[in-house]
Amino acid sequence: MKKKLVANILITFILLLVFASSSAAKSMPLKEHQSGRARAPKTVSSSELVEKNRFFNGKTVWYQGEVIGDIMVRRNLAWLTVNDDAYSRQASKIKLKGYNSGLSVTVPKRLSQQIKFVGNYKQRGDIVLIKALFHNACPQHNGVLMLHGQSLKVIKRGFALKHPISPLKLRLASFSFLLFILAAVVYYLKTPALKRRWFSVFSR
Amino acid sequence: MIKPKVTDLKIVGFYSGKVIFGAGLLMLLPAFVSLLSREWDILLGFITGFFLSLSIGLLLQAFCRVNAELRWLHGLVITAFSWLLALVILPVPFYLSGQFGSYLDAMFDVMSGLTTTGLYLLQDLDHASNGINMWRHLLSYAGGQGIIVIALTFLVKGTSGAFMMYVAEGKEEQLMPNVVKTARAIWLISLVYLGVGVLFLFFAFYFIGMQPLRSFLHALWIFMGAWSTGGFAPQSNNFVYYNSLIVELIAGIIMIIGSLNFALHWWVWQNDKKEIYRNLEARTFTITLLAALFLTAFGLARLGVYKGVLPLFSKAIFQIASAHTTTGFQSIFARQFVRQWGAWTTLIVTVAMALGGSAASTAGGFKALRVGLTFKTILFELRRLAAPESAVIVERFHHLRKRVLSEKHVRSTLIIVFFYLIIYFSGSLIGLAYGYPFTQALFESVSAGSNSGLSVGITSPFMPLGLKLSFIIFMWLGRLEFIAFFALIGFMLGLFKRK
Repeated sequence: MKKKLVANILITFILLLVFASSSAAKSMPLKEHQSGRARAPKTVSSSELVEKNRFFNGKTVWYQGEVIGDIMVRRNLAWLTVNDDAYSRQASKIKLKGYNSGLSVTVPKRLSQQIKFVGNYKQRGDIVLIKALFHNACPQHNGVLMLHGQSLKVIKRGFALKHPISPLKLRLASFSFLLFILAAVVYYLKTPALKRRWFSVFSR
Repeated sequence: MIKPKVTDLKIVGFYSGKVIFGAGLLMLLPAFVSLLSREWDILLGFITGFFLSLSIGLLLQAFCRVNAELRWLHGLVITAFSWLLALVILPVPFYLSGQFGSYLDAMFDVMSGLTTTGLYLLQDLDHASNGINMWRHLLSYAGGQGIIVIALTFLVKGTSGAFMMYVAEGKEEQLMPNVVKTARAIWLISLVYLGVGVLFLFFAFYFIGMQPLRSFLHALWIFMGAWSTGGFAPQSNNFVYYNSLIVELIAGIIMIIGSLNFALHWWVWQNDKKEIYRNLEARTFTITLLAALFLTAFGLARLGVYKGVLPLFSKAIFQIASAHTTTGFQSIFARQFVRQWGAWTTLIVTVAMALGGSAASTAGGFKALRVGLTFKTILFELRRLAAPESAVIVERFHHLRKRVLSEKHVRSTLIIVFFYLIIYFSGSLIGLAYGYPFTQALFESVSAGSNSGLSVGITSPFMPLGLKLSFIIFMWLGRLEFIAFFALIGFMLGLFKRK
């Protein structure tokens, strides 16, 4: 009886141990993930900053997005526009997701030198993570709603965007050219001989 | 209502063909920009649009050629119909760029450009090509002078019917005795300012840290947007993108000059510089602009949004100038109107948009001359009531010359103002029906109807279809000032008349 009890306790203990170790093994990456998350800053979006501008005014925030357009260096500061819209999160080909959204950010000139790609028609801009002080009406910069960047890190390098020539567009362009030739012939034939002269389409 | 004959239809078709041919030629410039920028995919869109416009223009001229005189009613109908044709054909390069959710969205942007409104549904503007940006701004610039003015400059004889085509596009003043010469004078004024304005803006953009080529392109586009009081900007953050007082100052001056009557420009250039101080329209515009500015600054100061006088006034001046000239440039984010500027200030901006710039300019809204005449009428009535019955009261005003306020002036002014009020409020009601707050719906509706282009965030590619359609119609009506629209409706109803 005693033996049976000891055996049961042992089995239960072993089962508990197995269960505990398996759940510990399962939770290990989660723990790492969670601790990784805890280390990674929680970013705010541009729309949150605009909508709750009074709440965030004067607070230090983390902001992430794609550098767009131009890096405008003025004395020791660089002015950037950083978009955190759906396009900044797309991997390669751009799909339509509505308007862009982003904010103006100033960073010390030396920090802006890390940026190699700015977003435009031909390329996707660098994705940057910025720690910045938010102002809903910056007294230093003429009342602009903006971020004063304190640190900047490029977390994903931009790249060239490909715009291959679409065969459909090529066919449409050819078709419209042929239509134009046809229209020009019809116009010539229907125009009275007296008015028929080179570039008569400009005659009043 | 007279039943139109085949000859009438042919006249409308023939001249509309000329207008579409002229509008199609405009695509050469953005096509050239695409070529230089090596945007081959975009270039194909312009080639398609160019040949399509020219083909339709030629076919209309070929099949509608008729030996008959262009009359006043034809002029009105041609203008309204040409705008509709342009609305269908000119969006081709936009749509083929792949940056629009639908063909209707591309049509929305064409109407917004041609009417110099500045609201847009193009998606991912920050990754748009140089060619597409050139096309947007060129539509604004050409639309500011008028697509009919383009046709009159090169393609149409200066008859009384041609003058009516010109009038139907929202311009009444003749700068020269002949309407064709008037159209050329309008282009001369616009091109001279283009040269000077682009030069100033180029140095400003270069000074704030942009590369020379980007500075030139942005200078050209921002000039076109400001002069035509259009409001399109090459970046989605509009003027927030530049964060520069000097750029805002130069653009502000161009907006105000662009919103002045072309006849006033011509008069000051040719004859009398003192006209600008005596002119009722210029005076009214100055008074209402200053009043709106004062009330806005008061509202912002009360809310304590901006710390310091310079930020407060620079933001207030730019936004009020942008609203009152019906340009639509924004140095704040759209949602800041709602979240930061408060109801009072937003209402003042709405009223400024509703009042608008000058008649026979690139601006929209009631127009300062009509606002001035409305005040003169009220003054006249008060004086008449206070005077003895036998007294003869005469109210005078100065607009290029001394004029006596007549019943005709009062009637035409009040009718147009009444129709503007109708589109402003019906747009608000439609917005309200779709669930938007009334003040925001009113703001957006006035913005579309007055061809301003400021937004509180309602206009977007995802807004309801009914709103998109109604805004397209309101932009069109606001630009043509109703008469041409009614003429077209009358003409079309006449087609179904039995006798």
